[in-house]
Amino acid sequence: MDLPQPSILPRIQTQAALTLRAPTTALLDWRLEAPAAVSVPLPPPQVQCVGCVFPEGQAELTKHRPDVSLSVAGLSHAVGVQRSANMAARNDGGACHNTPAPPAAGTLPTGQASAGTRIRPPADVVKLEDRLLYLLQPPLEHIFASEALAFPFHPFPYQLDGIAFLYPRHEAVLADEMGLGKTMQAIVAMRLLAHQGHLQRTLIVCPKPLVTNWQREISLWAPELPVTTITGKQARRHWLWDQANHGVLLVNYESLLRDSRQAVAVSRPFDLMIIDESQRIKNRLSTTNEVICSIPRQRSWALTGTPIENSAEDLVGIFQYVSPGCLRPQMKVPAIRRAVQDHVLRRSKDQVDIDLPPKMFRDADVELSPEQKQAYERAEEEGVVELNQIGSRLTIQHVFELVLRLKQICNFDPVTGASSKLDRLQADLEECAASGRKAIIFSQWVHTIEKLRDALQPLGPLEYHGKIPSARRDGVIESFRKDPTKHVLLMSYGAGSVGLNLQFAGYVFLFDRWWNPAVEDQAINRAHRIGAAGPVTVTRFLATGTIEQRIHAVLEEKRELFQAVFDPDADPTSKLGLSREDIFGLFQLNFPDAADQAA
Amino acid sequence: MDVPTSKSLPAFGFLTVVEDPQHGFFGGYLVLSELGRPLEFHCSTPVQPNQAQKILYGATLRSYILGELIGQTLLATAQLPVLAVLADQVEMLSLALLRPETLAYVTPLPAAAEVPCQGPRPAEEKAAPELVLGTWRLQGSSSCSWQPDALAAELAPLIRHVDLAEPFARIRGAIQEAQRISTPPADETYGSAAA
Repeated sequence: MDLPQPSILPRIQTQAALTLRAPTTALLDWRLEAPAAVSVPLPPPQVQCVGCVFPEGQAELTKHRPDVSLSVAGLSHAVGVQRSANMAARNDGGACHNTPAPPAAGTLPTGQASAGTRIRPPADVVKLEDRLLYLLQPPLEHIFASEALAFPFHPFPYQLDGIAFLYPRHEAVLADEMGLGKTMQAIVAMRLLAHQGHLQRTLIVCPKPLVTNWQREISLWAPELPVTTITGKQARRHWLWDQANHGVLLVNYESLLRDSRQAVAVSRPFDLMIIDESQRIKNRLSTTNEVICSIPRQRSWALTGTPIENSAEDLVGIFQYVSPGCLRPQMKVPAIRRAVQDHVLRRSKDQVDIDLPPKMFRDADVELSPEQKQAYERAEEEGVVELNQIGSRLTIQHVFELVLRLKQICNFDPVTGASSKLDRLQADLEECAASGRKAIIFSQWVHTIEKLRDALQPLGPLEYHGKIPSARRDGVIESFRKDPTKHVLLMSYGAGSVGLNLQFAGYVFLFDRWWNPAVEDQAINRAHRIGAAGPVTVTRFLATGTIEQRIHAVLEEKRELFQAVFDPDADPTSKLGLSREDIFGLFQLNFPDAADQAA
Repeated sequence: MDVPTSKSLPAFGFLTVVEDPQHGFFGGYLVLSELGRPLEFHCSTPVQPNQAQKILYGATLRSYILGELIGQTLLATAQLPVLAVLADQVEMLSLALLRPETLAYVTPLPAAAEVPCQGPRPAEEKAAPELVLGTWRLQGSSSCSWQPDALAAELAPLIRHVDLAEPFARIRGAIQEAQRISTPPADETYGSAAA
């Protein structure tokens, strides 16, 4: 050592000197003491690994090296201790343990892990190997940017989130507000799954008017996927059910009900089943629900802009298909919210970052014409008297009949045809046509649409409702889209409120109001959706002092229900739903059962 | 991972270590197809050097833990042969002496020009192979025998589909998930694997 410690060296010298001065008095030890050794424990390094070869890797490995056994193919069998080769001969010792230390939650730096849209495994995927397979997928942005798959244009970030939501889920409801691109998100997620070998056969069920829309969207976003549309006569449909073993099978609800026996008896389950406008199965006791739920499938996705139309029971019906047993009838709203939160993705236009033109509402409060007012008052007075006379046999149906009669008078006087709404509408439409814009007018009655058609002839109105044959409907939409002389499209809520892309229309008129706000929103969002060129003006006609105003109050209550289930900030204890008492209350009638019970 | 005896798969390895101040070093190794899809993944339990090791290994501690200990173990565990192993930590280059795989340290090109190496470098650094590929700089150690042109040709299909820094982010996310899932109930006793 270059630097001797001064405190030790002098002491050694002193001891030697003393010994030399007394050589004969004792047996002396001339050896110096050996320095004390301190052992520093260096436990052998030991690193424990977990891991797996994913299915795609296993296939490659088997193909190239068939002699290799896949001993770490599953994480449940993958734990093994690996020693560093240069340390393997050492003895174990020290503080080595075979169990991993639990890290504190959130202590690991995530680095760039949050960059891009990553696929997150759903909560019900518990096997680590499966969770890692999802987590280790490339960000969706990279898939879209790479040359492996071509897409017509880059989706919005929220759409990538929706694709990442659908991709790993076997049970999912995409409940985005109308116009945000649910169809496209489902198709892209389906395409990614198909390209990774997870899907061979997919069944898509949609309303009849939307079949062509799905065909167009699939050809745009997944052009290589073969699509078979179940259509035609019975023998042909049955042949198609039997033959379509690959690709996408597209069928409308009505055909599916007719062919339910073939659909249920498919040779092997569909890898994926998508139902569009899934509010069609909200009634869990309906035949449609029963047939849809009985089709064998691996993955169940539902698309809807209106998962709740009337009550929380609507969700129970949809979840009977998506995840049977997840929801039960009569569940409380907070419990429903907890049960569905990992299965439902709901975004409104306000929540997503898209540059959508504004949607402006104008409530056109219209005074009834004298003729209408007289007819209305007489009908209401007589109707209420009749209802009261029915007594304990009074049902909701009786009340609805009166409501419909009064609403029709609010549109047109049954005798003279006078209509304050029409007068107002004509004035607005003249302005609309003069500016070269297009307008959609919604009504719940075809005979109202026919009266409007006659009155609006100078504007070249087109019609889209239940009396228009399906084969002609696409032509109507194309004419409205391309013909500059066609400024007005008259639609019924039933035929035109879902699925259609009419973003070239700048005006929407609700000539009369539907029973629930979800259907109205669907109608409005035919025009107010991605691709809308300018602001959309929505005019809601309301005859003042009539049943329409009372219904409007009920509609607002339904909006509260929707927010209570899907908006976590909403107060779940607020008054929900539309009770039978509320409906009877439209005419200050007592609900007969309650009256009987009170009696 | 064993030395491939047959033709190598069009697969690429990504190797990184995550350092946690409380638990030590977690390693992760991800094998991707040339399209960027995951083929194989392995991660290690945390390695925590004790005080004596910190003193004795000194400046070489990180190189020892990252390369010799964690990196070597992970590569030895993996089954799929790869065309190259890419690492985002320079200390991993010490693996070149221990493993037969083509090994390269990846840095973004602008940063590589500005930021000096963070860890110990071989004395013969100037002789180390180097390759600029798009916006990335790939470096080997003096003991690496790969040829830049050959490696560029092998990586060409990969960089068409994959941002070379991105897979490391995947590994970090997966390590976090694996550690979260493997956290046993609180009433059990645990210890760290020690270096």
